Amino acid sequence: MTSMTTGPGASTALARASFVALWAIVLVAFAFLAPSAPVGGFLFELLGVTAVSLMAFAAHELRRAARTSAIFWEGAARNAWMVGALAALLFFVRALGDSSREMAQVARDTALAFLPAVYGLALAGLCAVRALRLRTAGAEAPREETAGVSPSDHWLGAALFVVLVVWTVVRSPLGGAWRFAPWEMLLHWPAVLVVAGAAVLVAMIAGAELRGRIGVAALALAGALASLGGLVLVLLGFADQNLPRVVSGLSSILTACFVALAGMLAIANPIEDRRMRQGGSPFPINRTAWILFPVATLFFLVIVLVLAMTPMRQQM
Amino acid sequence: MTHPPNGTPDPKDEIEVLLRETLRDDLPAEVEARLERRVQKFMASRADFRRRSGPGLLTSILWAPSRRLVAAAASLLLACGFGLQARTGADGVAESLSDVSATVSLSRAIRAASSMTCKGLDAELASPAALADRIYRRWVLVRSRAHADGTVVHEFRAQDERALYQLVSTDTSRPPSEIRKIPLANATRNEGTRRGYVATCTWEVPPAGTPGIVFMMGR
Repeated sequence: MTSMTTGPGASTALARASFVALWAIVLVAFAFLAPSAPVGGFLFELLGVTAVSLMAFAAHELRRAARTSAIFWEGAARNAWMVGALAALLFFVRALGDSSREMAQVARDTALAFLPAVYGLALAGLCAVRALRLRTAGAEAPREETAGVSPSDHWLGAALFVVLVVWTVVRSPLGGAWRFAPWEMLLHWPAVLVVAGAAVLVAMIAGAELRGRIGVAALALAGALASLGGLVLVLLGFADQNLPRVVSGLSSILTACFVALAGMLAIANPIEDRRMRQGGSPFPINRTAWILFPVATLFFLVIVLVLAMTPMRQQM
Repeated sequence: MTHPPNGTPDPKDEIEVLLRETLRDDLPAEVEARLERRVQKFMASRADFRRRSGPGLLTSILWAPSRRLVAAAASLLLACGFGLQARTGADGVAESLSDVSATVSLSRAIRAASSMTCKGLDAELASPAALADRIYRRWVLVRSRAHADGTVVHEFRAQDERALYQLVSTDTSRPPSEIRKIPLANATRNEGTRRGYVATCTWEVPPAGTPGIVFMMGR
Protein backbone atom coordinates (compact mmCIF):
# COMPACT_ATOMS: atom_id res chain seq x y z
CA MET A 1 0.00 0.00 0.00
CA THR A 2 2.77 2.34 1.01
CA SER A 3 4.78 1.63 -2.11
CA MET A 4 1.73 2.21 -4.30
CA THR A 5 1.09 5.65 -2.86
CA THR A 6 4.65 6.89 -2.44
CA GLY A 7 6.32 5.24 -5.43
CA PRO A 8 5.01 7.37 -8.30
CA GLY A 9 5.02 10.50 -6.14
CA ALA A 10 8.62 9.92 -5.16
CA SER A 11 9.70 9.40 -8.76
CA THR A 12 7.88 12.58 -9.78
CA ALA A 13 9.55 14.53 -7.01
CA LEU A 14 12.92 13.06 -7.96
CA ALA A 15 12.42 13.99 -11.61
CA ARG A 16 11.44 17.50 -10.57
CA ALA A 17 14.42 17.87 -8.24
CA SER A 18 16.83 16.60 -10.90
CA PHE A 19 15.38 19.02 -13.41
CA VAL A 20 15.71 22.00 -11.07
CA ALA A 21 19.25 21.05 -10.04
CA LEU A 22 20.42 20.77 -13.64
CA TRP A 23 18.63 23.96 -14.56
CA ALA A 24 20.18 25.85 -11.63
CA ILE A 25 23.68 24.72 -12.62
CA VAL A 26 23.21 26.06 -16.15
CA LEU A 27 21.73 29.28 -14.70
CA VAL A 28 24.82 29.81 -12.55
CA ALA A 29 27.01 29.22 -15.60
CA PHE A 30 24.92 31.75 -17.52
CA ALA A 31 24.92 34.35 -14.77
CA PHE A 32 28.53 34.25 -13.68
CA LEU A 33 30.58 32.67 -16.44
CA ALA A 34 28.95 33.73 -19.69
CA PRO A 35 27.52 37.24 -19.47
CA SER A 36 27.97 38.07 -23.16
CA ALA A 37 25.54 37.28 -25.96
CA PRO A 38 27.54 34.66 -27.93
CA VAL A 39 27.64 32.10 -25.08
CA GLY A 40 25.16 33.64 -22.65
CA GLY A 41 22.54 33.82 -25.38
CA PHE A 42 22.85 30.11 -26.04
CA LEU A 43 22.51 29.27 -22.35
CA PHE A 44 19.54 31.63 -22.04
CA GLU A 45 17.96 29.82 -24.97
CA LEU A 46 18.37 26.41 -23.32
CA LEU A 47 17.16 27.64 -19.93
CA GLY A 48 14.18 29.46 -21.40
CA VAL A 49 12.98 26.61 -23.60
CA THR A 50 13.23 24.03 -20.82
CA ALA A 51 11.49 26.25 -18.26
CA VAL A 52 8.63 26.98 -20.65
CA SER A 53 8.33 23.30 -21.63
CA LEU A 54 7.81 22.44 -17.97
CA MET A 55 4.65 24.52 -18.00
CA ALA A 56 3.03 22.09 -20.44
CA PHE A 57 4.80 18.79 -19.70
CA ALA A 58 5.52 17.56 -16.19
CA ALA A 59 9.17 16.96 -15.27
CA HIS A 60 8.74 13.16 -15.13
CA GLU A 61 7.08 13.18 -18.59
CA LEU A 62 9.83 15.10 -20.38
CA ARG A 63 12.04 12.15 -21.27
CA ARG A 64 9.16 10.07 -22.67
CA ALA A 65 7.65 13.07 -24.43
CA ALA A 66 10.98 13.77 -26.11
CA ARG A 67 10.96 10.23 -27.51
CA THR A 68 7.39 9.95 -28.60
CA SER A 69 5.44 13.19 -28.66
CA ALA A 70 5.20 15.32 -31.78
CA ILE A 71 3.24 17.88 -29.75
CA PHE A 72 6.21 18.27 -27.40
CA TRP A 73 8.62 18.98 -30.26
CA GLU A 74 6.22 21.33 -32.04
CA GLY A 75 5.86 23.29 -28.81
CA ALA A 76 9.63 23.26 -28.31
CA ALA A 77 10.17 24.61 -31.83
CA ARG A 78 7.76 27.44 -31.20
CA ASN A 79 9.26 28.19 -27.78
CA ALA A 80 12.81 28.13 -29.12
CA TRP A 81 12.05 30.72 -31.77
CA MET A 82 10.21 32.96 -29.31
CA VAL A 83 12.80 32.61 -26.54
CA GLY A 84 15.47 33.52 -29.11
CA ALA A 85 13.65 36.75 -29.94
CA LEU A 86 13.13 37.50 -26.24
CA ALA A 87 16.82 36.89 -25.52
CA ALA A 88 17.79 39.21 -28.38
CA LEU A 89 15.59 41.90 -26.88
CA LEU A 90 17.01 41.49 -23.36
CA PHE A 91 20.64 41.35 -24.47
CA PHE A 92 20.05 44.40 -26.65
CA VAL A 93 18.75 46.47 -23.72
CA ARG A 94 21.54 45.20 -21.48
CA ALA A 95 24.10 46.35 -24.04
CA LEU A 96 22.55 49.81 -24.22
CA GLY A 97 22.28 50.10 -20.46
CA ASP A 98 25.82 49.10 -19.51
CA SER A 99 27.73 52.24 -18.53
CA SER A 100 31.23 50.89 -18.42
CA ARG A 101 31.74 50.43 -22.14
CA GLU A 102 33.12 52.68 -24.82
CA MET A 103 30.95 53.45 -27.84
CA ALA A 104 32.52 50.86 -30.13
CA GLN A 105 31.86 48.13 -27.55
CA VAL A 106 28.26 49.27 -27.05
CA ALA A 107 27.67 49.13 -30.81
CA ARG A 108 29.32 45.70 -30.99
CA ASP A 109 27.28 44.33 -28.09
CA THR A 110 24.00 45.60 -29.53
CA ALA A 111 24.85 43.91 -32.83
CA LEU A 112 25.79 40.65 -31.05
CA ALA A 113 22.49 40.79 -29.16
CA PHE A 114 20.84 39.42 -32.30
CA LEU A 115 22.84 36.21 -32.01
CA PRO A 116 20.40 34.46 -29.61
CA ALA A 117 17.71 34.87 -32.27
CA VAL A 118 19.95 32.93 -34.66
CA TYR A 119 20.37 30.19 -32.04
CA GLY A 120 16.61 30.22 -31.49
CA LEU A 121 15.88 29.80 -35.17
CA ALA A 122 18.41 26.98 -35.51
CA LEU A 123 17.01 25.17 -32.48
CA ALA A 124 13.46 25.72 -33.69
CA GLY A 125 14.41 24.17 -37.03
CA LEU A 126 15.86 21.09 -35.34
CA CYS A 127 12.81 20.68 -33.11
CA ALA A 128 10.43 21.14 -36.04
CA VAL A 129 12.24 18.45 -38.04
CA ARG A 130 11.99 16.08 -35.07
CA ALA A 131 8.27 16.82 -34.75
CA LEU A 132 7.80 16.23 -38.45
CA ARG A 133 9.58 12.87 -38.24
CA LEU A 134 7.34 11.75 -35.39
CA ARG A 135 4.25 12.90 -37.26
CA THR A 136 5.36 11.16 -40.44
CA ALA A 137 6.05 7.97 -38.51
CA GLY A 138 2.52 8.18 -37.17
CA ALA A 139 3.62 8.33 -33.57
CA GLU A 140 0.71 9.10 -31.33
CA ALA A 141 0.98 10.59 -27.93
CA PRO A 142 0.74 7.91 -25.22
CA ARG A 143 -2.65 7.84 -23.55
CA GLU A 144 -1.22 9.07 -20.26
CA GLU A 145 -0.10 12.23 -21.98
CA THR A 146 -3.64 13.39 -22.33
CA ALA A 147 -3.71 14.03 -18.60
CA GLY A 148 -3.08 17.65 -17.68
CA VAL A 149 0.23 18.74 -16.23
CA SER A 150 0.23 19.09 -12.47
CA PRO A 151 -0.09 22.61 -11.08
CA SER A 152 3.22 22.23 -9.23
CA ASP A 153 5.12 21.59 -12.45
CA HIS A 154 3.30 24.40 -14.20
CA TRP A 155 4.12 26.92 -11.49
CA LEU A 156 7.66 25.62 -11.17
CA GLY A 157 8.20 26.22 -14.88
CA ALA A 158 6.69 29.70 -14.59
CA ALA A 159 8.88 30.51 -11.59
CA LEU A 160 12.05 29.34 -13.35
CA PHE A 161 11.18 31.42 -16.40
CA VAL A 162 10.59 34.52 -14.24
CA VAL A 163 13.88 33.94 -12.40
CA LEU A 164 15.71 33.72 -15.72
CA VAL A 165 14.20 36.92 -17.13
CA VAL A 166 14.54 38.90 -13.89
CA TRP A 167 18.14 37.83 -13.41
CA THR A 168 18.99 38.84 -16.96
CA VAL A 169 17.58 42.35 -16.61
CA VAL A 170 18.71 42.98 -13.04
CA ARG A 171 22.36 42.02 -13.22
CA SER A 172 24.62 43.99 -15.55
CA PRO A 173 26.89 41.90 -17.79
CA LEU A 174 30.04 42.54 -15.74
CA GLY A 175 28.30 43.18 -12.44
CA GLY A 176 29.00 46.94 -12.62
CA ALA A 177 26.65 49.90 -12.47
CA TRP A 178 23.98 50.42 -15.11
CA ARG A 179 23.84 53.57 -17.20
CA PHE A 180 20.11 52.92 -16.94
CA ALA A 181 18.41 49.87 -15.49
CA PRO A 182 16.93 47.71 -18.26
CA TRP A 183 13.51 47.49 -16.62
CA GLU A 184 13.18 51.27 -17.06
CA MET A 185 13.06 50.61 -20.79
CA LEU A 186 11.28 47.25 -20.66
CA LEU A 187 8.41 48.29 -18.41
CA HIS A 188 7.26 51.62 -19.84
CA TRP A 189 3.87 51.34 -18.20
CA PRO A 190 1.68 53.10 -20.85
CA ALA A 191 2.82 50.44 -23.32
CA VAL A 192 2.02 47.72 -20.77
CA LEU A 193 -1.51 49.15 -20.52
CA VAL A 194 -1.91 49.11 -24.30
CA VAL A 195 -0.78 45.50 -24.61
CA ALA A 196 -2.95 44.32 -21.70
CA GLY A 197 -6.01 46.29 -22.82
CA ALA A 198 -5.77 45.27 -26.47
CA ALA A 199 -5.17 41.58 -25.66
CA VAL A 200 -8.15 41.41 -23.29
CA LEU A 201 -10.34 43.28 -25.75
CA VAL A 202 -9.47 40.92 -28.60
CA ALA A 203 -10.22 37.94 -26.35
CA MET A 204 -13.58 39.46 -25.36
CA ILE A 205 -14.54 40.19 -28.95
CA ALA A 206 -13.56 36.65 -29.98
CA GLY A 207 -16.32 35.24 -27.80
CA ALA A 208 -16.55 32.31 -25.44
CA GLU A 209 -15.81 29.67 -28.09
CA LEU A 210 -12.51 31.17 -29.21
CA ARG A 211 -11.39 32.91 -26.03
CA GLY A 212 -9.25 30.09 -24.77
CA ARG A 213 -7.73 29.42 -28.18
CA ILE A 214 -6.50 32.75 -29.45
CA GLY A 215 -4.27 33.89 -26.58
CA VAL A 216 -1.14 33.80 -28.74
CA ALA A 217 -2.73 35.72 -31.58
CA ALA A 218 -4.32 38.27 -29.25
CA LEU A 219 -1.01 39.01 -27.52
CA ALA A 220 0.82 39.24 -30.83
CA LEU A 221 -1.76 41.66 -32.18
CA ALA A 222 -1.64 43.74 -28.99
CA GLY A 223 2.16 43.80 -29.03
CA ALA A 224 2.29 44.84 -32.67
CA LEU A 225 -0.27 47.57 -32.03
CA ALA A 226 1.65 49.06 -29.11
CA SER A 227 4.97 48.79 -30.98
CA LEU A 228 3.61 50.63 -33.98
CA GLY A 229 2.20 53.29 -31.64
CA GLY A 230 5.70 53.66 -30.20
CA LEU A 231 7.21 53.87 -33.67
CA VAL A 232 4.88 56.73 -34.56
CA LEU A 233 5.95 58.48 -31.37
CA VAL A 234 9.63 58.06 -32.24
CA LEU A 235 9.11 59.51 -35.69
CA LEU A 236 7.19 62.44 -34.24
CA GLY A 237 10.02 62.96 -31.78
CA PHE A 238 12.53 63.07 -34.62
CA ALA A 239 10.34 65.48 -36.56
CA ASP A 240 10.16 67.81 -33.53
CA GLN A 241 13.77 67.19 -32.43
CA ASN A 242 12.31 66.15 -29.09
CA LEU A 243 14.55 63.61 -27.37
CA PRO A 244 12.22 62.75 -24.45
CA ARG A 245 9.52 61.85 -26.94
CA VAL A 246 11.94 59.71 -28.92
CA VAL A 247 12.93 57.94 -25.71
CA SER A 248 9.27 57.36 -24.80
CA GLY A 249 8.64 55.89 -28.24
CA LEU A 250 11.68 53.61 -28.10
CA SER A 251 10.70 52.46 -24.59
CA SER A 252 7.16 51.77 -25.83
CA ILE A 253 8.43 49.65 -28.69
CA LEU A 254 10.74 47.58 -26.51
CA THR A 255 8.18 47.25 -23.72
CA ALA A 256 5.44 46.13 -26.10
CA CYS A 257 7.65 43.47 -27.66
CA PHE A 258 8.89 42.31 -24.25
CA VAL A 259 5.46 42.10 -22.58
CA ALA A 260 3.84 40.38 -25.57
CA LEU A 261 6.63 37.80 -25.92
CA ALA A 262 6.79 37.11 -22.19
CA GLY A 263 3.00 36.83 -22.03
CA MET A 264 2.91 34.39 -24.93
CA LEU A 265 5.68 32.25 -23.46
CA ALA A 266 4.44 32.22 -19.87
CA ILE A 267 0.67 32.23 -20.36
CA ALA A 268 -0.64 31.64 -23.87
CA ASN A 269 1.74 28.94 -25.10
CA PRO A 270 1.25 26.55 -22.15
CA ILE A 271 -2.53 26.90 -22.54
CA GLU A 272 -2.20 26.12 -26.24
CA ASP A 273 0.04 23.11 -25.52
CA ARG A 274 -2.35 21.69 -22.94
CA ARG A 275 -5.23 22.14 -25.37
CA MET A 276 -3.31 20.25 -28.03
CA ARG A 277 -2.49 17.45 -25.59
CA GLN A 278 -6.17 17.06 -24.84
CA GLY A 279 -6.82 16.40 -28.50
CA GLY A 280 -7.48 19.95 -29.68
CA SER A 281 -6.77 20.90 -33.25
CA PRO A 282 -4.08 23.43 -34.16
CA PHE A 283 -5.33 26.97 -34.66
CA PRO A 284 -3.69 28.45 -37.80
CA ILE A 285 -3.84 32.08 -36.66
CA ASN A 286 -1.80 31.20 -33.56
CA ARG A 287 0.86 29.57 -35.69
CA THR A 288 1.02 32.63 -37.92
CA ALA A 289 1.28 34.84 -34.83
CA TRP A 290 4.14 32.97 -33.20
CA ILE A 291 6.08 32.81 -36.43
CA LEU A 292 5.61 36.47 -37.34
CA PHE A 293 5.75 38.28 -34.00
CA PRO A 294 9.40 37.39 -33.23
CA VAL A 295 10.26 38.54 -36.77
CA ALA A 296 8.48 41.83 -36.02
CA THR A 297 10.38 42.10 -32.72
CA LEU A 298 13.73 41.70 -34.48
CA PHE A 299 12.65 44.24 -37.09
CA PHE A 300 11.77 46.72 -34.33
CA LEU A 301 15.12 46.08 -32.63
CA VAL A 302 16.95 46.96 -35.83
CA ILE A 303 14.94 50.17 -36.04
CA VAL A 304 15.73 51.01 -32.40
CA LEU A 305 19.43 50.31 -33.02
CA VAL A 306 19.52 52.61 -36.04
CA LEU A 307 17.54 55.35 -34.28
CA ALA A 308 19.62 55.15 -31.09
CA MET A 309 22.81 55.59 -33.11
CA THR A 310 21.39 58.42 -35.18
CA PRO A 311 22.67 61.75 -33.85
CA MET A 312 20.01 64.32 -33.03
CA ARG A 313 20.06 67.53 -31.10
CA GLN A 314 18.40 67.52 -27.75
CA GLN A 315 15.65 69.99 -26.99
CA MET A 316 14.49 69.28 -23.47
CA MET B 1 -43.48 -1.57 -32.97
CA THR B 2 -47.03 -0.13 -33.18
CA HIS B 3 -49.36 -0.42 -36.13
CA PRO B 4 -52.29 1.80 -37.07
CA PRO B 5 -55.75 0.42 -36.41
CA ASN B 6 -56.33 -0.61 -40.07
CA GLY B 7 -53.35 -2.99 -39.92
CA THR B 8 -51.21 -1.19 -42.53
CA PRO B 9 -47.65 -0.74 -41.29
CA ASP B 10 -46.59 2.90 -40.80
CA PRO B 11 -43.81 3.88 -43.29
CA LYS B 12 -41.98 5.77 -40.50
CA ASP B 13 -41.79 2.63 -38.41
CA GLU B 14 -40.47 0.67 -41.36
CA ILE B 15 -37.68 3.21 -41.86
CA GLU B 16 -36.85 3.06 -38.20
CA VAL B 17 -36.60 -0.70 -38.28
CA LEU B 18 -34.45 -0.54 -41.37
CA LEU B 19 -32.12 2.00 -39.76
CA ARG B 20 -31.81 -0.05 -36.60
CA GLU B 21 -30.96 -3.16 -38.54
CA THR B 22 -28.47 -1.38 -40.76
CA LEU B 23 -26.79 0.64 -38.04
CA ARG B 24 -26.54 -2.05 -35.46
CA ASP B 25 -24.54 -1.32 -32.36
CA ASP B 26 -21.69 -3.65 -33.22
CA LEU B 27 -18.76 -1.64 -31.94
CA PRO B 28 -15.93 -3.73 -30.55
CA ALA B 29 -15.94 -3.83 -26.79
CA GLU B 30 -12.55 -2.11 -26.62
CA VAL B 31 -13.74 0.84 -28.71
CA GLU B 32 -16.95 1.08 -26.76
CA ALA B 33 -15.02 1.16 -23.50
CA ARG B 34 -12.73 3.87 -24.82
CA LEU B 35 -15.68 6.00 -25.91
CA GLU B 36 -17.27 5.46 -22.53
CA ARG B 37 -14.10 6.62 -20.80
CA ARG B 38 -14.00 9.77 -22.91
CA VAL B 39 -17.62 10.54 -22.15
CA GLN B 40 -16.99 10.07 -18.44
CA LYS B 41 -13.90 12.24 -18.59
CA PHE B 42 -15.84 14.98 -20.36
CA MET B 43 -18.65 14.79 -17.82
CA ALA B 44 -16.10 14.90 -14.98
CA SER B 45 -14.42 17.96 -16.45
CA ARG B 46 -17.79 19.71 -16.73
CA ALA B 47 -18.62 18.83 -13.16
CA ASP B 48 -15.19 20.06 -12.06
CA PHE B 49 -15.73 23.32 -13.94
CA ARG B 50 -19.12 23.81 -12.27
CA ARG B 51 -17.63 23.05 -8.88
CA ARG B 52 -14.87 25.61 -9.41
CA SER B 53 -17.27 28.18 -10.77
CA GLY B 54 -19.19 28.28 -7.51
CA PRO B 55 -22.95 28.35 -7.15
CA GLY B 56 -24.57 28.46 -10.56
CA LEU B 57 -27.08 31.17 -9.73
CA LEU B 58 -24.43 33.52 -8.38
CA THR B 59 -22.20 32.90 -11.39
CA SER B 60 -24.98 33.58 -13.85
CA ILE B 61 -25.88 36.81 -12.06
CA LEU B 62 -22.32 38.09 -11.86
CA TRP B 63 -20.99 36.87 -15.19
CA ALA B 64 -23.07 38.96 -17.61
CA PRO B 65 -22.23 42.34 -16.10
CA SER B 66 -18.65 41.31 -15.40
CA ARG B 67 -18.06 40.64 -19.10
CA ARG B 68 -19.20 44.14 -19.88
CA LEU B 69 -17.08 45.41 -17.03
CA VAL B 70 -14.00 43.61 -18.30
CA ALA B 71 -14.58 44.91 -21.83
CA ALA B 72 -14.99 48.45 -20.51
CA ALA B 73 -11.89 48.14 -18.34
CA ALA B 74 -9.89 46.79 -21.28
CA SER B 75 -11.02 49.68 -23.48
CA LEU B 76 -10.07 52.10 -20.73
CA LEU B 77 -6.62 50.54 -20.39
CA LEU B 78 -6.12 50.77 -24.14
CA ALA B 79 -7.19 54.42 -24.30
CA CYS B 80 -5.11 55.40 -21.26
CA GLY B 81 -2.10 53.55 -22.62
CA PHE B 82 -2.25 55.29 -25.99
CA GLY B 83 -3.03 58.62 -24.34
CA LEU B 84 -0.08 58.39 -21.97
CA GLN B 85 2.37 56.78 -24.34
CA ALA B 86 4.06 60.12 -24.95
CA ARG B 87 4.68 60.40 -21.22
CA THR B 88 8.34 61.06 -20.62
CA GLY B 89 10.40 57.95 -20.23
CA ALA B 90 13.04 57.40 -17.57
CA ASP B 91 15.70 60.10 -17.30
CA GLY B 92 18.47 57.52 -17.25
CA VAL B 93 17.39 56.17 -20.61
CA ALA B 94 17.18 59.67 -22.11
CA GLU B 95 20.65 60.53 -20.81
CA SER B 96 22.08 57.29 -22.07
CA LEU B 97 20.66 57.69 -25.57
CA SER B 98 21.71 61.33 -25.54
CA ASP B 99 25.27 60.26 -24.69
CA VAL B 100 25.26 57.70 -27.48
CA SER B 101 23.97 60.33 -29.89
CA ALA B 102 26.52 62.93 -28.75
CA THR B 103 29.45 60.50 -29.00
CA VAL B 104 28.49 59.35 -32.49
CA SER B 105 27.82 62.93 -33.59
CA LEU B 106 31.13 64.27 -32.30
CA SER B 107 33.09 61.35 -33.66
CA ARG B 108 31.57 61.81 -37.09
CA ALA B 109 32.11 65.57 -37.09
CA ILE B 110 35.81 65.12 -36.22
CA ARG B 111 36.31 62.31 -38.74
CA ALA B 112 34.71 64.45 -41.43
CA ALA B 113 37.29 67.22 -41.03
CA SER B 114 40.01 67.40 -43.68
CA SER B 115 42.68 68.49 -41.22
CA MET B 116 43.22 69.94 -37.76
CA THR B 117 45.75 72.22 -36.18
CA CYS B 118 46.03 72.03 -32.41
CA LYS B 119 48.53 73.78 -30.15
CA GLY B 120 49.61 71.73 -27.15
CA LEU B 121 47.85 68.46 -28.01
CA ASP B 122 49.46 65.02 -27.61
CA ALA B 123 51.04 63.82 -30.84
CA GLU B 124 48.99 60.63 -30.81
CA LEU B 125 45.77 62.64 -31.01
CA ALA B 126 46.94 65.11 -33.61
CA SER B 127 44.90 63.91 -36.59
CA PRO B 128 41.11 63.86 -37.09
CA ALA B 129 41.08 60.10 -37.64
CA ALA B 130 43.14 59.41 -34.49
CA LEU B 131 41.01 61.66 -32.30
CA ALA B 132 37.73 60.30 -33.71
CA ASP B 133 39.00 56.78 -33.17
CA ARG B 134 39.87 57.53 -29.54
CA ILE B 135 36.41 58.98 -28.91
CA TYR B 136 34.62 56.05 -30.52
CA ARG B 137 36.76 53.16 -29.35
CA ARG B 138 38.59 54.09 -26.13
CA TRP B 139 36.80 56.92 -24.39
CA VAL B 140 33.52 56.81 -22.47
CA LEU B 141 31.35 59.91 -22.35
CA VAL B 142 30.82 60.79 -18.70
CA ARG B 143 28.68 63.91 -19.07
CA SER B 144 27.78 66.72 -21.46
CA ARG B 145 27.11 70.26 -20.32
CA ALA B 146 25.60 73.03 -22.43
CA HIS B 147 26.50 76.57 -21.36
CA ALA B 148 24.50 79.76 -21.77
CA ASP B 149 26.87 81.09 -24.47
CA GLY B 150 26.02 78.07 -26.66
CA THR B 151 29.21 76.10 -26.06
CA VAL B 152 28.95 72.43 -25.19
CA VAL B 153 31.49 70.60 -23.03
CA HIS B 154 31.73 66.83 -23.47
CA GLU B 155 33.68 65.11 -20.71
CA PHE B 156 35.20 61.73 -21.56
CA ARG B 157 36.93 59.21 -19.35
CA ALA B 158 39.89 57.57 -21.04
CA GLN B 159 39.80 53.79 -20.57
CA ASP B 160 43.54 53.30 -20.98
CA GLU B 161 44.88 56.14 -18.81
CA ARG B 162 43.80 57.82 -15.62
CA ALA B 163 42.60 61.05 -17.15
CA LEU B 164 39.54 62.94 -18.22
CA TYR B 165 39.31 64.77 -21.52
CA GLN B 166 37.02 67.76 -21.97
CA LEU B 167 36.12 68.68 -25.53
CA VAL B 168 34.64 72.15 -25.91
CA SER B 169 32.58 72.77 -29.05
CA THR B 170 30.53 75.72 -30.19
CA ASP B 171 27.95 73.23 -31.43
CA THR B 172 27.44 69.48 -30.92
CA SER B 173 27.78 68.89 -34.64
CA ARG B 174 31.11 70.72 -34.91
CA PRO B 175 34.61 69.54 -33.94
CA PRO B 176 35.95 70.87 -30.63
CA SER B 177 37.68 74.21 -30.52
CA GLU B 178 39.42 73.31 -27.29
CA ILE B 179 40.63 70.01 -25.83
CA ARG B 180 41.54 69.81 -22.13
CA LYS B 181 43.26 66.91 -20.46
CA ILE B 182 42.71 66.59 -16.70
CA PRO B 183 44.71 63.87 -14.94
CA LEU B 184 42.85 62.09 -12.17
CA ALA B 185 44.11 62.44 -8.60
CA ASN B 186 45.65 58.98 -8.44
CA ALA B 187 47.35 59.18 -11.84
CA THR B 188 50.93 58.73 -10.64
CA ARG B 189 52.25 55.93 -12.75
CA ASN B 190 54.04 57.92 -15.39
CA GLU B 191 54.84 61.49 -16.20
CA GLY B 192 52.80 61.53 -19.43
CA THR B 193 49.57 60.64 -17.67
CA ARG B 194 50.06 63.18 -14.91
CA ARG B 195 50.60 66.11 -17.26
CA GLY B 196 47.40 68.00 -18.04
CA TYR B 197 47.02 70.54 -20.83
CA VAL B 198 44.65 72.82 -22.69
CA ALA B 199 44.95 72.66 -26.46
CA THR B 200 43.21 75.06 -28.83
CA CYS B 201 42.26 73.69 -32.23
CA THR B 202 41.25 74.97 -35.64
CA TRP B 203 39.61 72.69 -38.17
CA GLU B 204 39.36 72.51 -41.90
CA VAL B 205 35.95 71.11 -42.76
CA PRO B 206 35.07 69.89 -46.28
CA PRO B 207 32.35 71.73 -48.17
CA ALA B 208 28.77 70.66 -47.67
CA GLY B 209 27.59 67.91 -49.98
CA THR B 210 30.29 65.34 -49.30
CA PRO B 211 28.56 61.95 -49.16
CA GLY B 212 27.61 60.94 -45.63
CA ILE B 213 28.95 57.42 -46.09
CA VAL B 214 32.46 58.90 -46.33
CA PHE B 215 31.97 60.44 -42.89
CA MET B 216 30.75 57.20 -41.46
CA MET B 217 33.33 54.83 -42.83
CA GLY B 218 36.34 57.15 -42.55
CA ARG B 219 38.83 57.85 -45.25
